[in-house]
Order: sequence, then C-alpha cells, then structure tokens
Amino acid sequence: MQYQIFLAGVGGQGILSATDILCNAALEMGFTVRGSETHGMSQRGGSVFSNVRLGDVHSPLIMERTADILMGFEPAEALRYAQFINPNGYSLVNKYPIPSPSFILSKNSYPEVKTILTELKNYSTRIFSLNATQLATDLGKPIIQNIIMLGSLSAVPDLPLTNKALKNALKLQFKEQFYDLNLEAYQLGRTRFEEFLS
Amino acid sequence: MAKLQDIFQDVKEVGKKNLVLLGNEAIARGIVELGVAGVFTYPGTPSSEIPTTLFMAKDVLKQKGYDLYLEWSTNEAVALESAYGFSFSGLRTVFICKHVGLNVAADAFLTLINTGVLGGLVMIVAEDPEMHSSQNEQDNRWYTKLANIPMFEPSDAREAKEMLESAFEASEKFETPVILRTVTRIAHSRADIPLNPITNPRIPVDMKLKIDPSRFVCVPGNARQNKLRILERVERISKYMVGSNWNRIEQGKQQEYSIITSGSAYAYTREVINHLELDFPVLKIGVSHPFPKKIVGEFLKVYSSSTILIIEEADSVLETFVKKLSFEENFLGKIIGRAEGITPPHGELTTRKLLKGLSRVLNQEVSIPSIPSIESDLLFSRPPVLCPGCPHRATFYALNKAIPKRHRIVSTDIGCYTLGASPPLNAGHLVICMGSSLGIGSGISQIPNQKDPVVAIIGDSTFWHTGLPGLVNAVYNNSKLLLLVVDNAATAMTGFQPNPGEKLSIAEAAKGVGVKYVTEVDAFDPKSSLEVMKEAVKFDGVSVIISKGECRIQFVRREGLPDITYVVESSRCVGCHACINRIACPAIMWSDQKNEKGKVIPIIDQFLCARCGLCSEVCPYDVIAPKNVKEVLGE
Repeated sequence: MQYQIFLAGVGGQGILSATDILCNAALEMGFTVRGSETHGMSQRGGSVFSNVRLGDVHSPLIMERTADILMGFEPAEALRYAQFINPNGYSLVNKYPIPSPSFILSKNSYPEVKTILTELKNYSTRIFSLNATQLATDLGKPIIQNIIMLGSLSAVPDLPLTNKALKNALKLQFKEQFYDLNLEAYQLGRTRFEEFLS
Repeated sequence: MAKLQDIFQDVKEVGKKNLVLLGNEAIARGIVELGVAGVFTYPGTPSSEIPTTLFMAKDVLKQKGYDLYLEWSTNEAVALESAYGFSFSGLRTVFICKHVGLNVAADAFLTLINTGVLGGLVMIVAEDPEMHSSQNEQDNRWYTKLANIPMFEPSDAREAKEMLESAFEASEKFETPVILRTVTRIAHSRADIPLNPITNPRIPVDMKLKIDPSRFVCVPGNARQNKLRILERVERISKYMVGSNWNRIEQGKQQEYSIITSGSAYAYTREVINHLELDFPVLKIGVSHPFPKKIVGEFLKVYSSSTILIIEEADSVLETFVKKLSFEENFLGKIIGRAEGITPPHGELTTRKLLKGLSRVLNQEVSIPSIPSIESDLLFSRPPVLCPGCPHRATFYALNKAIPKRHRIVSTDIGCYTLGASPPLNAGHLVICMGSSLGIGSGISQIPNQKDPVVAIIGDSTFWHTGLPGLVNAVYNNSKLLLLVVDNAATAMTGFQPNPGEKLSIAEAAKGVGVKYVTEVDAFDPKSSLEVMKEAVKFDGVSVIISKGECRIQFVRREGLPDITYVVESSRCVGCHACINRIACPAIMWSDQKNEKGKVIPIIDQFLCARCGLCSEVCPYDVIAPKNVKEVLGE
C-alpha cells in the first residue's frame, strides 16, 4: 500500500509546517514515511513543493500521475504540479492568487482562477476549492490558511490518517496558546470539505 | 522541521523510538549519538541544516553535559584544515560542506589524505543534482578516485545517520578521512528515523598531542613515504569492506536482468521495480570507494547469463568502474548503463525518468503514465526573488541611479544578491563561484580600451569567505574598480548563520590592505548612497562602498514588523508604474482600479509588505505614503 500527498505553493505559505503535521500523524499511526521538500535558494518567494509518501515507499519523490491528494496552496502552483495527481485523486485548491514579480513586470494580469480550475480537471475531476486565505484572514490570521487546507484534507475519503492522529499532530506543532485558533481553522476546513462531499 | 527538544531527546534503548526527521536533522542527531566533539563548516545548500540544527541546540546539548565545539569557519579550506587540526586530539571530528565547497578545500584535502589522521574525521559533502540552489552540477565521487579515501553513499535519510557510524569506525581503524556523500533528496528528504542514545564525547582532563613530523610534515621525502602508505592503506580498507553489509546482494527470482546501483539511485530503483512488479536481483553499493571489486566480480559471475543494468544518479562513475572490471574479468554478458540511455546524463534521477530509461532497454512493455500538456497561458514562471524589504533591492536601485546600466560591467557573487541580476535591477553580468566577483572584475578592468566602469558586488559573508584575497590582488595590481559590499549582517540564503562580520569590520579590512577610498552607506537611504556611488566610481583605483542594511527577515524575526506601513494613494496615482518597473518588489501588484487616464493603479499587498519604505522613495510623485498599520488593516 502507498498513499501520497503532494503539497504545492509559494515560499512562505506554511507548506513545511503542514508537512510536519502530516508526517507526525503518519508516524503515530505506524507508517513508514518518506518525503522531500524545497529548501535554500528556491525558497525565496519561489515556487515550492513538498511530498509526503506513506506505506510501502522507498524514494522521497512522488511519481507523476500517482498522488492521491494534491494540495494547492495557490491556484497557479496547483496547476504547475497538476501532472502529479492521480486521475482518481483529489485536488484541494486555495483560490487566493499570488502573482510573481516577473509576471507583474511583464504587465500580465493573473489568469481567471475559474479557468485554472477548469484546466485542472484535465488531470483529475475531483476538485475542491475554497478561499482559505480569505477564511483565515476572517479568523484573524492569514497564515493559518495552511491549517484550513489541512482540515479539508482530513475529510478526504479513504485517507489513511485518522482525524484523531491529525489533531494530535496539530497539537504538537504549535504553542499551546495558538491551539484553539488552529483547531478552529482545522474544523472550518474539514466542515467545508464535508459539505462539498455531501 | 522537527523541534530541537525532540531531535535531541534522551533515549535509553537503541532504535526503539522513531522520529520523522529531515535527512540533515537525522545526521545532526547521528553526530551527537556518536560523541563527535568538533564540527567545522561553512554553510551551503543542501548541507546547511546539519550545523544549523546543532548550533541552535547548543544550550539543549550543554544541559546534557555535551561539550560540542562548533565552528562557522570563514571558508571550506579553513574549515577542513581546522577540522584536521582538531582531529589530532583523537576526538571525533566532522567537516561539512556543499559539493562546491570541496573545491575550495581541495588543496588541503588532496594532501591531508596522504598523511591520514589520528582521530576520526568524517567529511560530510552534500551534492545538488538538478542545481536547485547551486551554480554547477558536480559529482564528487570522482574526488574519491583522486583522493583514494573511502566514500559512503547512503540511499536515504535513515541510512545517512546509520552510515555515519560505519564511516567513523573506518576512519579510526585506518587513520584516514572518510567522505559521507549526500544529495538534495537525502539532505532535504524526510524519513522515520530510529534514535539511539546520545554519547557525550570523552575529553581527557590533560590533553597531550603526539604528532610525528616524519609523517605530518609534507616535504617531498615524507610525502613519498605517505604516498606508499596510502596505496597500502587502501588495499587494507578494500579487504575490510568485503564483509560490510553496506555492499550487498538482494536476491531476485527473475534473472534475465540484474541491477547494480548505488546511493540515492537505489531508492528509485526499488520504487520502479516494485511499481512494475518485477523481481530482479540487485547489488546495492553503499561504500563506493574503494571500488568493491570482490562483490561486483561475484555478481558478474553469478549473473553472467543476465543483462546487467547500472543505475546511478549524476555521472557515470559506477558504470565506468563496473565496465572496467568486466573487461578485467572477461565478463562476456551485456552491460547497460548511462551510455545506453538507462539514466539521464544530467539532472536528478526520478522514478519516472528511470521508468522511461527502463522502457528503452527492457525487452518488455513498460507503461509510463502519459501527462496531459498544460495550457501555457495559464502558467507563469516563479523564480526565486529578493524578498520584500530586502536591503539589496534598495542598494541596487541606488546603483542604477548612480551608474547607468548601459555603461557599466557588473561582476557579482554568490548569495541572495545574485538574484539582483534579474530585471529590472540588472545588477550582475556574470557570476561563477564564491569570491569570484573581485578576481573577474579586476581582470575585466585590465582589458585595454575597455572604458565602462567595473563594479564588483559581494556580500558580507562571501567577502570574508574568499573575497579578501581578490581585494588584495586588485589593490596590488592597481585595478580600477568599485567594490560594492552588500552587508546584510547575515549569511541569509543558507539560513542565517553567523559570519566574521559579527566581530570584524569590512571597512577596516579594506583600509588595512591599502584601499584609499572606503565609505559605509545606509542601504535604506538610497538618496545619500547614490551620491557616494557617483563619486566612488570616478576614483582612480580600487574604491570600496559598504552598503549596510540588515536582512529584513532577520530584522523582522527579532524586532517584529514596524507599525508604519505603506499605501498607494490611489486618488493621486498618475500610473507611471515606476514602483513596479524600477524595483519589482513582490509586495507591489496591479490592482483592479484604473485612474481617470485609464492607467492601472498598483497596490501594495499588506500581507507580503515588509514595511521598508523603499517604494515611497522610488515614487516620483510622492503618492506612496507611510500610514499607521491600524488605519490600513483596521485592527
């Protein structure tokens, strides 16, 4: 058995701490864990990704067309790594766009998010999108968009990580005074995805 | 990344407790499990998190009574020399660098391998296939062929920690430095890692060194003896490694093909043969030098009727030596490697690339999932950029105002500021390696009839690393150039390690080596610094400007964001777009609004903005105004 989660976004969006939580939940459940992520120069405002692989795994990288879940923290970044999603997998996309400076310099306007989501359907039809950044801002802390996304992921059918293990890992990740807020964000993301399923 | 308290937690039993760690964190843990007393390094991706993790944990370790000497050396040559010196204590010593760092250390390296060492010395060298954060792709396995010392090649993060122990055992037994080679997908990969107890180094109360000059003074007479010694030593190491489980045959039932692989390529190999539900025998090589002739020879003999596949990442090192041995052993079967297209000649290996390679060489159908092509209009490039609030952006803005882009040659260097070479700042025509800006700039300045001013750009850490000899050279040879030191008080790109700038002054160093024009400017005051630049570039000789401005990330981490932010007053914006076209700050974007002339008005994203205020300096119409953040965000 293999289960694979591909996280994609822009440096500074909290992808590595979401990865920490997924890995710790997997460890609690006794899975073999392999993964790989972006550090160093390419982190500086660039496109970043992280891979989490569980089960019978050796390599740290997800092969194209095999990821069970693609977590796109930014719409264009979700599309950039769309080749990794399995045709039956779920894409979870944060609709909040972040243009790049070179793109701004070339005077282009950001593509319609709707068009990006339609394009994503060529890779996998199960697409769930929400404006996690806006929801997080409403909760008072834009950075916890990553936890909202994680909450949504927790409700994906057949996810081998239990809600309990994920919540335990969430508790381990942050200082105690932030736990309630993070839990609220997590629940919000989870509820949104459950509504989407039903 | 894991928490320091977790990484360095106490465990009583061997391998009972697991933790998911980054490869570099796992190695840091391994270093304290093995009682290493000295670590010497210069940071470089993808090696930096090993010393950084240890550095941050100094207090945690001290509480446990663990006395670790960790040195941020000025460069890798000094780091290796110092590590070598420290190892005369007999205490376990580690040297850490990125792949190109070994080039900097190569002079020391290729001689100290001859003398050998008295205490365990392991050199951890991290390579970066695909060049995620590097200027070249370099396979350091060739260095072990040159140096004739053992190399351990882990296939994942877990093995990286386990092999460290074997590397020390070999180093101590044979009095030789040993290399542990990692790559980005080990250093920056995660795995569940079993922890062993931490062992504090045993430091004698009265340390007496015994150094035999007939061995350690490398004059020709002694050096000739050392050469004989290393040849004899490597033979003994070869024999010792025969019993090592790091080089092992994993049986397989399907024998029309058999595989020889090493290091990181093993993980992709296993992944692919599992994916295809194949069961080929695999010879996994973990100690690649001395070349394990015996086990490779046996493998060739046992599987003489099968086709041998050689799977490796980066250069064809394994392939070269297997093919050489097959010639010596009169192996008549077929050997397929890089030359036959099984792995790509550049970049990092991936499961899909290997699947493609296998489909080329296997006499059976291999299905490779096809990938729909992406509508190209929807994708835009997102290369790394200078962060919002970066002092380098302000310095380069001033430079562009002081010395027109078209009439200058800019020789830049390795660091965050290399990113300033992109439009619209264009602060860099060329860069090759650490410290090269001065040598290249000086050479260009000596070209007859070349009249454009030459500017060399270097960061504070890189200045101390290898910039200083270039500065001495430029002064000595009467070169005419402007050296712009962009001093952000950090080694920022690799994760904020300290550097000699903490205690030493670049201005004093420049004056000390005879530079007659030395001035410090404030990076965040471009109006004043551009006047200094205009004057300095006219100076007949070497002029040095030190543009000081703290890395914004480091500043904000310590002080928090200022309460004053910046906002475009959209009602007054004329739409000249100078703020975007001149500095390209990631926080400045196009808004949905247009002014009455139909020009799009820029907007400052308040979540990305680091509140440095450069844009308000740049705006020719003063419409970017400081505002209290509470007013703007309504907190």
